Amino acid sequence: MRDVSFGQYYPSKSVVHRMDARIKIIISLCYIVLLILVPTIDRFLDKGRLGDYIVSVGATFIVIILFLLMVTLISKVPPLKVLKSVKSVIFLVIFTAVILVLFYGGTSNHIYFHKGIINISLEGIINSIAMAIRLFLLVMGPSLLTLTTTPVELTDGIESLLKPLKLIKVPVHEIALIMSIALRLIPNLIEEADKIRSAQKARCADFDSGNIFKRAKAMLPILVPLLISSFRRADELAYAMDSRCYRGAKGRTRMKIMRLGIRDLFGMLFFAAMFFVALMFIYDFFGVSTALANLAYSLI
Amino acid sequence: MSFIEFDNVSYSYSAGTKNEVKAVKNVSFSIEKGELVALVGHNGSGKSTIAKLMNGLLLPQSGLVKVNGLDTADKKNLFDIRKSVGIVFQNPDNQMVATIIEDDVAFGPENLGLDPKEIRERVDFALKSVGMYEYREDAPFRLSGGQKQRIAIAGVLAICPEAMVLDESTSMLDPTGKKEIMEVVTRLNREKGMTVIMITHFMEEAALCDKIIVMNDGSVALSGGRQTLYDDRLVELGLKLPMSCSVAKRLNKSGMNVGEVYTPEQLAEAICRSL
Repeated sequence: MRDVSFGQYYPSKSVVHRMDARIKIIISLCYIVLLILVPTIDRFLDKGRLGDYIVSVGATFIVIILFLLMVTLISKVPPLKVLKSVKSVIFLVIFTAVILVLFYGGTSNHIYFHKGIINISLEGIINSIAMAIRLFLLVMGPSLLTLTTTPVELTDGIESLLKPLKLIKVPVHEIALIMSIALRLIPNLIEEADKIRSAQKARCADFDSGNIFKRAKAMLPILVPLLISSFRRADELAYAMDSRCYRGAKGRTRMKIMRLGIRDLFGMLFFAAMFFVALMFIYDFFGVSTALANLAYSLI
Repeated sequence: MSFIEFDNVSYSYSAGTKNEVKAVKNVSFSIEKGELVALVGHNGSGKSTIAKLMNGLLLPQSGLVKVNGLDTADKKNLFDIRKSVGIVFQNPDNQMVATIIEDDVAFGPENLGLDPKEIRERVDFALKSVGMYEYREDAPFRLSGGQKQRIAIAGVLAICPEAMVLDESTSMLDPTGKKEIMEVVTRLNREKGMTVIMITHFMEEAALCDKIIVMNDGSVALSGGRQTLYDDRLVELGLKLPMSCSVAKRLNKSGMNVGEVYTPEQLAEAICRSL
């Protein structure tokens, strides 16, 4: 328990790891926007050709997957780690997909089963597959960010990016400090929870039997002391910070200054290229998607 | 003018309520620059409160605390006072701000608003002074208690204070950790001339200091040089003497004159001499 690396940072000295956290955060945000731009099937149904949708969205996904794959390889993070990140949403995705298959209206003549509100159609199936891939990609991208960036770099990056908000009196520095202290305290809290748990067990507390409610109730004797000791900890930390001349953001400088390097430029260009190609397939720039779809039709 | 002056200082927790606890009562003493002072006493004798009064973390309810002639009660002075008096607390885990050691040590100088280059120099200097330079890029939670406490000392050192207060900083450490800290602290005092105030209830540590202030129930019971350890009133206050002092005392009483010794080595030497 004590050796938890909070977050899921995978240490390595790759180019991706050494990129500026701010750039990585911006890229991740753009990546999410891109996935939101991927259309659902409804927009294509008016045009009538189902194949156009499959080709356009399929090509977009392939571009994004290739991008993720390349970043993973460059960053030297084991691909399995990236894949594992979808574990937490797998239930949600399956649930969404099933619902989409069962209840998607479907206007065309590709209806396989219809009874009451349940309506299984080809469009429904394609739509739900696209949705599932989209959700998986939505999780995998940002998890690559946390795999290659330490929590400290992340909070520093967020602080730096939010700096403009200082103009409207948002306490950016304080928020970032709170985040980094919270991260700092996680291992201590886990250790402490462990200790309290052992102490309660030594006095015959039972945490492992009974139904969910009983177990939740059994956690109470751990949570209350943990809460109290966190307050005491916070109090002492405040004294220590005061004593080390802390005055908030006023007059404070940093030891490590974030500087953009050539690798950040390359990273951005690489992402921008991927972004553009994906948009090209989504919005049918230069008729690429249509041409591809026509080609597919003629082959069939 | 002394470096740190306590003039008739009193402080109570929860003042004005029925839970009022008088922690410090009319305490006066002064500490000169470059001294290595031990502040000893039982739990609840007001030692830690005195530490917090020293750099304005707590303000006296009556009386005056002055550092370099600056009154801690004046808010404008606090920044300068804290620059010259740093405190290392009991639990190293509760003093760390950052997840990486060098970032944590940099916290103080960053607050001073120094140039990044100078911050880097100070951090390197502080980490080298406590012998933790090789660990600078590690996470603190993998270190031993003694190592963590050395990081906390480095965090204070990086501010370059004139005085360092160690508030029971060795009490949570094992004997090796205690020794590590004592070595670092005495070296800083001898070599860099730093004023060090050790707050402790281990009389062995007090025996290494030049000056001893004994607190009892919120007041100064005794104070003086190292020979205070041979004052009989110390035993009356129920404080346990360092082993070497109590042995020497009994030997002296039984007619074998070993004089006043403070460490086991000195004791051994004195016994050899008198044989």
